[in-house]
Amino acid sequence: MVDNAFAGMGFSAESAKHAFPLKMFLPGSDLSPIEQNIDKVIHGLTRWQPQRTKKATVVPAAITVEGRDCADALDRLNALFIRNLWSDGLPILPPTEQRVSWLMTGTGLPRQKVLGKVLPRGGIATLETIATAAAMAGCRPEYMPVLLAALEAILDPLVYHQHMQSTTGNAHPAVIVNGAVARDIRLNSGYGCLGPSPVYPAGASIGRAIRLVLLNVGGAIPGSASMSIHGGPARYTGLVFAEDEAGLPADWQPLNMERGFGRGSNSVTVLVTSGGTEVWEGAALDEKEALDTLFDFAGSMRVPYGGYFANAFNPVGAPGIVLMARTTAQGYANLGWSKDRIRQYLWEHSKLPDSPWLRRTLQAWARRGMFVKDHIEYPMPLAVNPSNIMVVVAGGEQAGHSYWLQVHGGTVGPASREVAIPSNWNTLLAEAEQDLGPRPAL
Amino acid sequence: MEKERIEQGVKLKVHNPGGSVEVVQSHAPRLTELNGKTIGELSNGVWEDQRTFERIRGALERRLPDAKIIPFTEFPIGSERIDSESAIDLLLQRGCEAVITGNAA
Repeated sequence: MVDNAFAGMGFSAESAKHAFPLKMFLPGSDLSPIEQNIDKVIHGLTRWQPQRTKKATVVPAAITVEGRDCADALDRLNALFIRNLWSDGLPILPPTEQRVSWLMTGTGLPRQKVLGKVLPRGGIATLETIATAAAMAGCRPEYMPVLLAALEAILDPLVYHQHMQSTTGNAHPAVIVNGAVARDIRLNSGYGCLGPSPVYPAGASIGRAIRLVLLNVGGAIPGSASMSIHGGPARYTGLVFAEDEAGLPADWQPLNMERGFGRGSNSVTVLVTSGGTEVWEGAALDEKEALDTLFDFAGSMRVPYGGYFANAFNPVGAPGIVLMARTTAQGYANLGWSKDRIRQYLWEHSKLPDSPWLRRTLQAWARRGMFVKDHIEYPMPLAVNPSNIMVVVAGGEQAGHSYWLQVHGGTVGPASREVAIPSNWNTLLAEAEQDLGPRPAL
Repeated sequence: MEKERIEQGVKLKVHNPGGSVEVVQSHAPRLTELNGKTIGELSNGVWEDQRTFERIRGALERRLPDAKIIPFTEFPIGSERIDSESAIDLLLQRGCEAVITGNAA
């Protein structure tokens, strides 16, 4: 972990350190190993010398695997990638030059273009490196514009991806896509939009490619650089889905417009989340039911989750994402509710009452420098303003269940990027139709 | 899939998924001697820092009676706060010639 962090800061991947077992850092532990090893601390400050002393760019070599036949070579490649910690544990497709070149046709950009450094390791995310992850994850060329925009957003300082990568929390990016690109690439906004779908395969591969970049380029290997205690299933393929723009009530703005993009623009918005809660049941057939449904939803937000507080006092922080199916949204719109009114209601009713737990948690966050505020008003809102709550229409068609994706405490706020569509888009989509069949109807 | 038929099988040549890394900074030169020097501590505020740093400080003070060790409580605490120019400025201002950090930070 420490060597990764040094690499991320531009040093050689080595450091003057002595590693103690993790159990030593737990309450009530035996600290005698410190005295026993104090010479090693002194050595680190006086005699330790780095192996690499020259400035350089370290380019990893290509890999060759041989097998009796294609299946055997593929098995050996997968085993090699697992041995070298270049995998998420699931089988990968081989990132051959042919496959990487195929994926690059979805970018219209040079393969050495750099998106940024992925921390903590500080690996350089070139388009070629990203296409390598995309190849391993099973992406198609038409997925690349969304993948690149999502990674650009993840590298935005607002997302503070280094915290997401190394935290003990269960942080993972939620990527919401707006615009025609979502339907073009078969990205799910409907039934099961947070899960697997052969009808809408794009989200899983894009999310997996993001994870492989975070693992391989960023070095966030669980237990060594990523200290996430549980990780969470969303760390495999992430949460990459589209807003159900066709299901939005007429006078509700889609997320891309709320984020400052024009109507119809292709965009991604990323918020680092830590998990989700199904909220059931609920609809908005009349005003009483609408209020009951929202009150229940606010109850799912109003929980003792310490992660809220890292940015509850941050003007750009978001406490999470409300996912509401189109029929539920339409019910609210029919009763005169706007997204803003829903946010206002949820903000008011999700405030946390004063409690010893709340005071203790706020104090702990303050000590770690994650927020500073002298005076807290109780009940305490989860965000500075109601507008900080993200409301997205997505999910299956009927009313019923809604979903609350809570923020990971440690990110600063959501980040958005426009999706750049390459000039060969229609050709890519035609090839996709040939391979996968007609796009599903709206 | 790129594959080259070899005498008795198949060869797969693939890209390395790790990506390049740049080494653009050198590690600071080590001190020849710690006695008489000022050593700062930086903490991210978790992982029992109040216990571990106290023990490290005590052990160092016994070995290096002329070293001055400034406790982490006299510097900013927290991952973001210690990863800042202002933290470095404060270390320099306090005369620190060496720093101990990474208490699981």
